[in-house]
Amino acid sequence: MSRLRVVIASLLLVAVMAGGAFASGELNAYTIMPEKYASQVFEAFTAETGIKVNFMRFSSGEALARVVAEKNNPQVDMILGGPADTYEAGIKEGVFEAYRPAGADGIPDKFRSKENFWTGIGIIPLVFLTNTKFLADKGLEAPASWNDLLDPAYKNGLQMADARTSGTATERIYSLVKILGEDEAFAYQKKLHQNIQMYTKSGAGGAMPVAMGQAASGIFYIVDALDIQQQGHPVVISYPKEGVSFGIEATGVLKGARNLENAKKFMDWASSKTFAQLLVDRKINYIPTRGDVEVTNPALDLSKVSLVEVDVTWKGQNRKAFVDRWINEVIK
Amino acid sequence: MAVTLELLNVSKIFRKDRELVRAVDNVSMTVAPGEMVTFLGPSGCGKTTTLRMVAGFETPSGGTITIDGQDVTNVPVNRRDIGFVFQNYALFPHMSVFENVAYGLRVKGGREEEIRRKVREGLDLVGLAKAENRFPNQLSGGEQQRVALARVLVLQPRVLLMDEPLSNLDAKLRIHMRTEIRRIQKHLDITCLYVTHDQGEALTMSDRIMVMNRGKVEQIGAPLDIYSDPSSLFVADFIGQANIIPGKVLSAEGGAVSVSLPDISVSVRAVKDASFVPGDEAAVVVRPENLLPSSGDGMKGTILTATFLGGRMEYEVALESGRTVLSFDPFLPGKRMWAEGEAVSLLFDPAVAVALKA
Amino acid sequence: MNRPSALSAPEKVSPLKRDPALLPALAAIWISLAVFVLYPVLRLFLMTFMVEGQFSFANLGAVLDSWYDRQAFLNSLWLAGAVSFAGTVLGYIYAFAVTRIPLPSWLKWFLGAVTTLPLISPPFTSSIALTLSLGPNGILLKFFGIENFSFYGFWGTWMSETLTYFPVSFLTLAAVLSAIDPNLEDAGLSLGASPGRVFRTVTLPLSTPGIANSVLLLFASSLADFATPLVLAGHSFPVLPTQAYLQITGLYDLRGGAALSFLLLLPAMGVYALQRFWVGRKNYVTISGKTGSRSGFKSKGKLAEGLVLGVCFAVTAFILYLYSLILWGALVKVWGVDNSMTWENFRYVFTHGRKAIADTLSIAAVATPLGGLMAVVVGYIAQRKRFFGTRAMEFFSMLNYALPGTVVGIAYVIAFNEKPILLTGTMTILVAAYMFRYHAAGIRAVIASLHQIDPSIEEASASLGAGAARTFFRVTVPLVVPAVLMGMRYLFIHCMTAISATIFLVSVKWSLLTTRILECMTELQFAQACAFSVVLILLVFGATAVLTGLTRFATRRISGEGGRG
Repeated sequence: MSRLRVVIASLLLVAVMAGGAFASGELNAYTIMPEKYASQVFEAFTAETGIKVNFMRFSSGEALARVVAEKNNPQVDMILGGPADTYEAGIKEGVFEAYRPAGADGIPDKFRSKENFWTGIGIIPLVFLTNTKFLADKGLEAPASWNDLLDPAYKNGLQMADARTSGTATERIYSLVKILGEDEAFAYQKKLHQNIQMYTKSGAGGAMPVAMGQAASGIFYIVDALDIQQQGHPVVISYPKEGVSFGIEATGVLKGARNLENAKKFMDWASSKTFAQLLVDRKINYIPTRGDVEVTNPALDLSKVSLVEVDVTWKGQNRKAFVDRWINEVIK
Repeated sequence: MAVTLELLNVSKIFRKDRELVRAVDNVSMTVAPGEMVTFLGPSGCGKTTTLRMVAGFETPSGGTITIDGQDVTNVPVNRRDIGFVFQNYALFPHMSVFENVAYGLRVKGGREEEIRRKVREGLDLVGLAKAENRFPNQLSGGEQQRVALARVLVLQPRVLLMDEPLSNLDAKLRIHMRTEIRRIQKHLDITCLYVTHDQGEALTMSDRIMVMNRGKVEQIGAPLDIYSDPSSLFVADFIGQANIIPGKVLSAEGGAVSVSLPDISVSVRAVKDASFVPGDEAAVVVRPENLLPSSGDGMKGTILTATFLGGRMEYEVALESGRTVLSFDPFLPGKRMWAEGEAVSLLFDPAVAVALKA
Repeated sequence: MNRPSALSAPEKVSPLKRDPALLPALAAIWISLAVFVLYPVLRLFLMTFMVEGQFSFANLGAVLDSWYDRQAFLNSLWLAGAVSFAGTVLGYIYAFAVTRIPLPSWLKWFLGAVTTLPLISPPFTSSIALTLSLGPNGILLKFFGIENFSFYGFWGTWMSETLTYFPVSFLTLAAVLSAIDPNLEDAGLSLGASPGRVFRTVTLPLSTPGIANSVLLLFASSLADFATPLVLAGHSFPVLPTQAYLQITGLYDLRGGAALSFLLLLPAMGVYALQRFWVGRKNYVTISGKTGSRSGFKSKGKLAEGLVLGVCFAVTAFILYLYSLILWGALVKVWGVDNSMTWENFRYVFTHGRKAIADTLSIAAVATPLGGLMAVVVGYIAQRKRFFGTRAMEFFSMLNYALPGTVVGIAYVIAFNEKPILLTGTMTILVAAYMFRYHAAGIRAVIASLHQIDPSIEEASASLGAGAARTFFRVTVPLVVPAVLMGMRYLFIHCMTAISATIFLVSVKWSLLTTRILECMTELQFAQACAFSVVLILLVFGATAVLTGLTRFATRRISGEGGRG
């Protein structure tokens, strides 16, 4: 009898077991920045401040969906990485806490939220990543124009991100809309769709297939493309002559953060020169938003690349409409 | 030591397919201390349900059950102090023979040496002292049965209840176990209810038999009385083999009744509590061993089959009315035997036949 | 020694009064079912059908209006149908080989062992290897010189799911086939029928309930599978679970996700009802891995045997090939570029993945025994204590299992993300998600094993003076231990490998190996994904080996049968 009581008690215990307490001296974060980079960033932060960081990696859409869903019960204090337009979308949902970090003055205004909801820590242009064996087989040059990707040689050979989940994909749409105008941009994408092999869930998802030769080419943020190249895969990075837009990799504090002070400390640190230098030293391939560090990797030298400036607020405002249009016009 | 068991107007109503079924209908009886009573009847007659109500596995829909004067109708099984032996033995397959027998003793508590001693005694009683470390699946059916018996006996229950305990054994072992169970029951002087559908078992083992049919008690009595004085056609037919020969009452006087049967008229005993008037339909119950073939007077018939069984001849005889009867004729060398197809007359001793209402 | 006859009135005594211990047990079960099964589903319905306080079909309408979502619905059904057909055919061939063809016992063991690989590995493991082999420019395509094979979409998803789920069919059918007395087939042969005719007229009809069961099981599994299409289906072949996931994670649309998961729920419940009321009556599906063998099989004809064995060996070889690709991928530096061996990937798993491993193991370690306990209690009450409400209790205990994981995950997110029951970010929510979803196998096993144990065994205990609790713990529990252990093994495997429900529930505090593997795959850390998979498979292998050993030990003591001589 008594044993049965114990059993029942333990069942009840599970039924009512509530959430664990959050200890101080900690920082909880979602990172949209790839895990292998985020882990280095947070390690360095912990080494410097002694604050332990718990983090999880999500693609930008997932991370935003989560913080929106958890608005009344925030599970994390901040987000690291991810394109600024994701943050703009989040501002509309009221999930961010305004904070002007200590190093803000070293970062140009265009790389920061006007209301201090987010701070840009790096910029990353879109690039074409193409398998060199594929090019050699087909006798092609690396694509140098958006139109090169419409070549039937690429039939069933392109992998790029799905606009529903990936910030890379929406960046691609912004670029095209800015260069071609909205209707033209979607008409182009419809043509491009003929050559698509697969839309991947995450922005970087198609890069490995390109590296392995499963796919011929794709459009990625430079950070993912360079990573593949540095691993030694036979790939070439190129830019379209019409120009590409770039993403601003941002970071921001969440409203209702349980470790607000620690999150602010992180913002201060991430806006500092130390952090910018860390990106360069660790070959984390974002171009720092601070102008006071020297970028050593020649691949990140963008002086010859035609970059298109796209206002982040505009991105945030148009994101959902573009994604809907993409679903209904492009992949139909 | 032994106690009285009493059932008073006990009923059990089941709901089956939205209909009420009276599985046990107003059963009353008293079992004397140390008596062994058998519940006998065809399957579905309510005998097992009655036993399970006495055990406490089922709750009566009405009536009371008392043990030793104490009303136990709503006392849970485990507080009734009864021992129950199941048809399938229900030995715990994950425990050794020893642990099976010790189970009830451990529930009661007590010192380990005491328990050991009692278990050994119990196993000795059923002749399985050497099997205590074996598991049930390593025992034969008869051995399992004896373990099941030992398991309840060591508890010295006030009442021993057995539900067709021998039905899973082979014929020879069954006959051996009958005497064994009866010996132990008498030796321990324990009040006992025994459910069976095997009349042989009932006749050989019990002090009294309660014959049940469709939830009702047909007759309660000593085996001899039930055999010789069945109080209903059902009992007559169910206990032993009986020829039921219909006829018309010519006259009735006291306990005797004169009946006209095909070809003959006989005066036989009337069954207890029955009153006949001339002209009534009656049925005369004649046991096959009392119905003998001859070539003289008697009921005329034709031999259908003749079977030699060693100790006796069995004849199936078709009477002229079309009814088939059985006749057992003790065999002695040189005795006249009848062949199939022969015409024959059948006669019986009216003193050991009985007339029932048809 | 006259005892007080407290209960003298010959009125009805309810089962509750006879077993006082039943009441708290029932209360505990009903409370936990209400919180972790009823409440989330209710919230999901509210989310789907309530718009601004009004009952409305607007959310569902929006989904049905979208051509893409309609397509997803049809694709889901079509894929599930194709997977259940192919998986059952393959499963039958395997089951036939193991139960009907005289093979050396080590070979049977080997075939069985290889088929457990897909069962105990995370759902998308085979997807990685399949992509490398049959995807664009895949190894096997090159080897066989095949071009223009469109792997992404229906074909890839279908192949991967068939390979993943056919072992379920194999185990189901092997149990059914080995229960068919070979004498029946011998009888057919002796009456002059050819082996083929005997198969068609005896073996096949007798195994029909098993086949129906397998088809339904696989249909439900495929319908609910979320990870495989996420990796392989791509944009051209949308299916409902991934659509619901993308709706929520990509478009922040909880309502749309809820509506989509409602759409997914309809066919799932249909299958569940069919299984329960049509097939389930005859068959208890137990994933036991038991493949009984009997001696004295007659030859089924050289050609037929050769064909069956040929298929088995080919599929087995293919599975082994896929898994060795994964092992290879985990051991080389950079796949296809630098093929030198390294332990680096495993070092990564045990440093960066240590938390995920520890979390997953702790969750499994908590959920498994609790689920086992729950299975015993629910199974016992359902089978032995039939009275008002037990049928409903059994149904609700199985409900989360019948629902696709995505539906459960979304319902949990909706239900437990705000007061009064705030559980997101806790271990509890993960444990509950696994436990209430996967204890179903344990409940079924317990019910099936109680079915075989004659109630007289428990009555014997009561008549010997034991109370309800003592009877339960001393007699009932030991007898159902093998069933419970089997159920716990099933629960453990799913705690380690399932992802569809829990991908919505992981948090910074509690992460899971499976979500880490999926992350690695989306982050291009292919080698690390392989290493994670290898570690996960080894962990599951180890733990299930222990549980299997315990089951064998327990079964041997009891020798399976209850009571009868």
